[in-house]
Amino acid sequence: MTEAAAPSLHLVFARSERMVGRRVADQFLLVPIVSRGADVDSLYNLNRVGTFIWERLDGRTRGGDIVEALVERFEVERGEAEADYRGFVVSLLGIRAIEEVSPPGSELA
Amino acid sequence: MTRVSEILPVDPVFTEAVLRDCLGAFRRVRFRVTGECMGPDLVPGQVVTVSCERPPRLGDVVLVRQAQGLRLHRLVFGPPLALSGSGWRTKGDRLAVLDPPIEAGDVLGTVVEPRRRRIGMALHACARALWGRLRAGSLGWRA
Repeated sequence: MTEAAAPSLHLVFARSERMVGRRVADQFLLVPIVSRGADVDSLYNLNRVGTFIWERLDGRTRGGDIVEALVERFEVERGEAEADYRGFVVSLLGIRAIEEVSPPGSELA
Repeated sequence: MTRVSEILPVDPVFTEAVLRDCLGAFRRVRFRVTGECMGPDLVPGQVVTVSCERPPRLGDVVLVRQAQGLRLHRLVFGPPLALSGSGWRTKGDRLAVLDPPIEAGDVLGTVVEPRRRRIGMALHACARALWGRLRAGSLGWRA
């Protein structure tokens, strides 16, 4: 996926059921689930920023709100937070760890 | 975001922590075989599933912690022959000698897919080791 395909901050993403987050030995790992087990050849290790974003991709929170939370939590410029968020979401989409969902309340519109 | 498979081979302590955590949480883990010591049953690149859903038995291929790190080796002295949870022995099918003695807790799980339980091979390895010890004048099962 290219930079041009970076997701809009209006979009909402949810964690895929095929990927589980686990904290092991002070590391935060994404563990793919395959046919009743964990595929340990395909684990991913998230840093603090990645973990912070991952925990907020809950199917309810818009990208813009996550960026605001990043700015507040890590005291970074908004542009840097946006770039980090977009890049990370693109990476997660690339491994099918998250999926886009309808924003809350959109079914009433 | 870092792919952990690039880290695991060089950090056996972290690898064991990850595998124990995943086995505890999901009961089964899947990964690719490296090394050739279990050929022809298991070959490099082959995907195996290891489970902790049942206790290991003689002839099973088990994921075991050894001094050099984690190995997939065959259990050649263990339940039901072993009467306690210590002094178990494992061996790579292509290796000439047994691995050092292990405790039951050193076995993280058993290979269930593909299942390659070979009781005859385990008994043969066990008998050969026993015969070698007898000839050397020492049974030394428990180092």
